[in-house]
Amino acid sequence: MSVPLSQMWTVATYVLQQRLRRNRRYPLVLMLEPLFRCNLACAGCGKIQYPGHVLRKHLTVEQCLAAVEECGAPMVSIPGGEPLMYPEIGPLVAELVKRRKYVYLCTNAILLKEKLEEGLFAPSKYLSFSVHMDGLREEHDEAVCRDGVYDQAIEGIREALRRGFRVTTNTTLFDGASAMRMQMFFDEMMDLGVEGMMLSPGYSYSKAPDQEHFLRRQKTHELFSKMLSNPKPRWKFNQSPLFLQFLMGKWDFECTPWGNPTFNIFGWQRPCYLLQEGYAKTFKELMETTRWEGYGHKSGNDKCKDCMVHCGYEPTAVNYAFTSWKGFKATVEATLTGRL
Amino acid sequence: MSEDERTLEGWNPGVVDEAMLGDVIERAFDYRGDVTIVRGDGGELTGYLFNRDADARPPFVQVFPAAGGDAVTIPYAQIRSIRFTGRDTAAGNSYAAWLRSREAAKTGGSTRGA
Repeated sequence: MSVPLSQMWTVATYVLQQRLRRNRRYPLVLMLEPLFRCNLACAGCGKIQYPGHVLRKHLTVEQCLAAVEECGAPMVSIPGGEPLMYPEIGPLVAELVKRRKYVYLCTNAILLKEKLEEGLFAPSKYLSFSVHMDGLREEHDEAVCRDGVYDQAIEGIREALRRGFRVTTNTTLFDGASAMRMQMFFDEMMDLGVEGMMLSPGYSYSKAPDQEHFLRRQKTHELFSKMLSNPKPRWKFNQSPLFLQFLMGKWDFECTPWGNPTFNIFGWQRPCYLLQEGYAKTFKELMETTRWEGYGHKSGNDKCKDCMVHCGYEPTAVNYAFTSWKGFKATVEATLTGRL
Repeated sequence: MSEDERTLEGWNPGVVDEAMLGDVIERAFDYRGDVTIVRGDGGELTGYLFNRDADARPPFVQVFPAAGGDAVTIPYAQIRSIRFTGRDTAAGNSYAAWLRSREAAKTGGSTRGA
């Protein structure tokens, strides 16, 4: 695994503090969406289908920082939309780094080289560019519905690495993904020199154009088992090994929908990053008034039935790793041996 | 039109009674286009209905006006009707449509020809 020790330590102490305070529900990663505007329209994405006047809106840096303070999570993920299109992205990231938040800037990297050349960012252990890469050239360009994006992303990654930035990749897997091609993709990313990779099965957004290619649970287990049962030692994953083992069918976790709370121009999104069932004015209101028992695999909620996405299950895996001996032992074993 | 391309765009349910109002608001909340809210006093507001809370006291909807500006909160009790006037941004871009346009682009044909 490739999560830096300082980051692991920050997360571990945060989780233990929450447990000592007997806090039953606490966030791990704030999903901060400063805008919905994007320079791509991917078939599996349900985040950008809004009228023009909504797409032109964005949060102010002050609103973003207030949300970060209110939430208190040690990590902040900035998805969107495309965050490099957010006019205040440089100042926002600088403020978050100043606050010692671990920032994952999730980008398709089309604008990455240009923004780096503009000097918008400074390398820091707190900042990682998390580049959206859905596989090798053919698979990625198909997933993002535009030819040439893979090559642009590679160019952006190379430039970021050359300038000393932390770079990870995030990959969404859909039905029909080939385990062998994905293994080739892992090799390619490691050859490039990225710090680690993040994987997740896709979620079937009701507003996404492509509804036919989302993985169901059994298929997810099969695909991830094939891909990861004999991982090369050089493959580094920037995520909890228990989450990957869960995707392989080795753990039976339940969703932690409050683990990655989402804030955007509409407010605090109920109940999670994927479902939009309403908005709360404050983080406190979100945590205290959302009917959490109505969500997760075992709740019987149809929308949650097949979901195994990282934003709900990775917090469960992380909590399990730091709050149970079995989870801790399995995490240490996987981290030391590289076996999943 | 295929099933995944059906939309409420252009729908006008007319004046809605209290029993129907909740259902129409839910559909407007799920709709990815602008709607026009007709108030009891005849005033209209066109915008994106992004939130509603039927359990609040009093129940309300929240709208970003198409003309710009901050979100506007309107109590359920003031709503007489909701018309689905804006383009449904989630409609007409089905995966099948994207595959057709991709194929057409490859062969140099029209994206609407298939």
